[in-house]
Amino acid sequence: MRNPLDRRIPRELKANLGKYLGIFALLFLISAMVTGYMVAASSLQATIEGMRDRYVVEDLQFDCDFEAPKKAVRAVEALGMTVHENFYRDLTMGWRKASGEEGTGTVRAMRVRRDFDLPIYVEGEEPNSRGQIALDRTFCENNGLRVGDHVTVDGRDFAISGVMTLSDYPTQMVHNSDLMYNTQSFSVSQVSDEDFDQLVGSSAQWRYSAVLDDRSMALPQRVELERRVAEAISQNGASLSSIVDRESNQAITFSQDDVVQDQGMWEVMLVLLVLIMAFVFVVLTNATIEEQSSAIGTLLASGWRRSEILRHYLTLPVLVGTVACVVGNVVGYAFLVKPMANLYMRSYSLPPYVVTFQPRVFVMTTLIPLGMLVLITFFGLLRKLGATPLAFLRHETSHRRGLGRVRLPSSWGFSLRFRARVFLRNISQFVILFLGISVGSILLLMGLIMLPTVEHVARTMSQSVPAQHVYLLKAPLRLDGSVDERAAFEAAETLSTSSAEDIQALDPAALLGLAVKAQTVNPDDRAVNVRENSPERIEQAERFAAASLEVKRNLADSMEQITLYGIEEPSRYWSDVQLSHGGIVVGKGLSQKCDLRVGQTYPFIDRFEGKTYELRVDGITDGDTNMDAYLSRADFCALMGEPDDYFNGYASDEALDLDPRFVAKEITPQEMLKVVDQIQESMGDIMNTMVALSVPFYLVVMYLLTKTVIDRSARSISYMKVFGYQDGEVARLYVRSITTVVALTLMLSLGGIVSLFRLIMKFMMVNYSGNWTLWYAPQHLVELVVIGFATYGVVALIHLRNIRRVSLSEALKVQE
Amino acid sequence: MENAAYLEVTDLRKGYGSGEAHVEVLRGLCTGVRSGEICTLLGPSGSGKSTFLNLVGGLESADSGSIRVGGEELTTLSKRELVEYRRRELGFVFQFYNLVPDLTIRENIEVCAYLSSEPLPMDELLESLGLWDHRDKFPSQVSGGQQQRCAIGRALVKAPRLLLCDEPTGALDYKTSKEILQLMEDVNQRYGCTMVIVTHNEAIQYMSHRVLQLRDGQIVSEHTNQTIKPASELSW
Repeated sequence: MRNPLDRRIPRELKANLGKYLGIFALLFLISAMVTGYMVAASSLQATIEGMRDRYVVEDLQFDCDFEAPKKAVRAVEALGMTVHENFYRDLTMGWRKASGEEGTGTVRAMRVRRDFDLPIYVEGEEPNSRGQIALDRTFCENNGLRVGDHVTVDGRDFAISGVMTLSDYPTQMVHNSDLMYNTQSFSVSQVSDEDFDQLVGSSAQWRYSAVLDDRSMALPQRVELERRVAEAISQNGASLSSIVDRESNQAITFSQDDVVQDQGMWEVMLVLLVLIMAFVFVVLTNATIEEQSSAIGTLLASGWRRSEILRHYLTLPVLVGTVACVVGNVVGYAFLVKPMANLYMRSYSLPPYVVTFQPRVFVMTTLIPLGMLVLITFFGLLRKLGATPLAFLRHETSHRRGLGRVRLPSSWGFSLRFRARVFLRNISQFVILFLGISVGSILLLMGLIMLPTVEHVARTMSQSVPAQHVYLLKAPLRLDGSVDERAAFEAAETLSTSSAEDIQALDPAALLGLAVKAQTVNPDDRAVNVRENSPERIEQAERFAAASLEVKRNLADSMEQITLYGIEEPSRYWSDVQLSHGGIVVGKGLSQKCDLRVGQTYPFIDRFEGKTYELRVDGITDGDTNMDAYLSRADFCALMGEPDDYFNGYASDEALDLDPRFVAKEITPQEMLKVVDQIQESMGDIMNTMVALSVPFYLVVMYLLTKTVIDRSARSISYMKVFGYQDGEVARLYVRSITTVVALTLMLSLGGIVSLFRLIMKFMMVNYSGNWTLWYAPQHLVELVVIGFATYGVVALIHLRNIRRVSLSEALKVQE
Repeated sequence: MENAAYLEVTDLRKGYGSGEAHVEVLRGLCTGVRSGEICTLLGPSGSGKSTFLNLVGGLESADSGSIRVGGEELTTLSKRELVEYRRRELGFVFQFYNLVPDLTIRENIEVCAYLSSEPLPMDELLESLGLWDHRDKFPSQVSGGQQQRCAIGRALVKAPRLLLCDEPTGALDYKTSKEILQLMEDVNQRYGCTMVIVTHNEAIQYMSHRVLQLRDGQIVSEHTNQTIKPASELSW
């Protein structure tokens, strides 16, 4: 015989359609979104992971201040790798956007690669003649550029021959230490060899990319190898300015890290949501059991086994959960993978991806949530059904009886005591409500304050740039050269950079003049800037020395790259840094992220030189994002073994006209602010998704949990009406209790969720450069409470309607 | 009617609470009910009637003493065995029917038919309960008397040897109560099941074979009726 109790399942479903639809909708939504996202992310991850071998992506790269002698390259290759010249020039590019607006930005021009870091063309082909250029896909998409369109590079016209992805630039990172990539105004590109040689608007950057013979070499061995590479370069007449392992190369790893870390975040979110949903199920099922307590007692008394009843009450949640998860999975696969992948494809230049069935995703989005749902509901029911048949018959299964019967102060007015009783009687619903609202608030908070936080970090970094222009030089370059000195250096430069044909083409008299002038240059002297700057400009510019060092992060087994500045004392531009002697002063951001404390000594590693400096922290200077360390220039030179007059940078409020061959990098506050636009472009959709997901979550959780409060009070509500209470008065007693709890929850949980979020963020961003601290304005918290409360407003309106619908006859029904 | 006691209770004791708050509800109860008998328990509130019923029903465990039902000692049974005992041997009828609200009248009865390998024929039972026309209605769509008929049908359908009724007419009006008592009498005669009825209604004793009067946890009087009135002739 078929279990007759099974027949009540469709009826229960029909009778509580709103409740089950809510649960279904939420689980479906979560499952579909997470499936769509996880499948997209996993597919992209597989694509990214496959790129290394498929496109021969480099294992390490090193930059030299000037072109390295052949013997240096050979010495490096002798260590077990193939070194490829990967020179580039950063040039000004102009284009016309799809909107008709003129766009300007920077293009990183490179030669066409054949053997390493191969390009993947999504449209068109590589440039095979002069005047052609291939640009990055994300840049082209963001600016509406297509094959056949024209751009100007360094003042020359180029036709776009192809739209591509460079396998070593899935992320358009301008500099490895940058906070954020730039797909709006920066593009990598390939041009023909002839064009590369003729684009001299900026000096070539002497980058070398290496592919190891043993590509499976582990990181510790690679670090040792890189130390030997640095040695080999230095010992063979080249000047190393940076060496970057593939795992530290943000252009290569940023996209993968982002995809992997985001998946972790979504997984945590999924677990949290399902956990809350499971508790909601328990509360709802418990409410049903309480409602049918006497019938269940009778069944138990008649010989029904506890396991049979448990199975019965477990069926509907499992059924609804299974259908929601399965349908969500199908919809996620069918419709959401592409939009979710586009969240990344818009930001990262990745090759086309292939969607495959991902067993891990199925387990994550279906089996684990369902398992959790079943287990939590099972144990919740088991606990509830642990009561004796008599307890069911006497309606004594509720564990809240004790609290419900708590004595309340007689000084409290009737209304207050009544509301307190409603609260005490439904305390478990309210506890779950508190948790549900908190989880919803975390989602909402993430949606509301992630962008402001990143913007704040960018703005703070922009404000912390000490001058309007900070120039990092490849070698010391004097600004104060006399006219004769400038002429002599210019002559020497012309002679050294011109090809043999160009020199032969010169007028002999001119050549002689150049040679005479060049002869006056003393090779031991500091180089002189050949470009002219006014005395006022030179006067306000301040020299500094800088070195790139690494220090261990506090919460991760990885290193933070920092800049150690040797600054003038007193300094015009770093006036707030209180220097000490014998030790260093560190930025607050650095001290927080790496847990550097005043009075303690820490090892700072120079990977290029293979040296470790034990430096004592003597002070901390302001700035949550300040990741720099400071000492006087004199102390810097002494520490680094440089001559007393050594420097390699200028801080200046006015733009300096510097010989581009000497400029390694220019930092301006405006550059930092460009990050904000990029972040808004790339993260805006994800954050909006968070907000969009949290509102229905709030709505359903609030509705379901507060509905049980109203439902189980139906009889009392009916009595109140019989006694002569108006609907409004009844609503004030019941709904106001709920409203108070929701309002208090929304406000009291704020502190907790902000702290939790701060903690999550700390762990989430530990492997990113810089110190990311949560930032929000009071208005964001107000927004959160307002959205939460507005959502509750909808729920309260539904309850008011339900209270009006409770009939007077409810009170007159025969019931124990 | 058989002569041997089907239900045999010896020195049954049950108390609640501990220390000063300890209350002994049943104090050394001894009695027996023969198979097929209707036994009525009368007594004021708090006299221990329902506790007695719960102990016989295996819903509570005794502090001491013995309860034998059909030769089986209940006080030594495990929880699992008690469930099997209730499943096999017992039917319960309560004052407030306790029907599953979202099952029809027929389905509510089937809930207990499901527990038996040889349930009574459903259609016949519905007819005899006077519920045939209401079989597809939900409990909220029928009267209290019809709901109690359904509860009796539910208890009866698995052909239990012992039917325990706790205030079966307590929530019903006079006319309906009489109808229910007639039904119980009919069930007793037709199916021969032993019935223990706990009630405040003294009139019910006249349709019973055996009558027990309880006060303060003890039997203060026990007698067997020589003449049994048909339920239709009862009045109160």
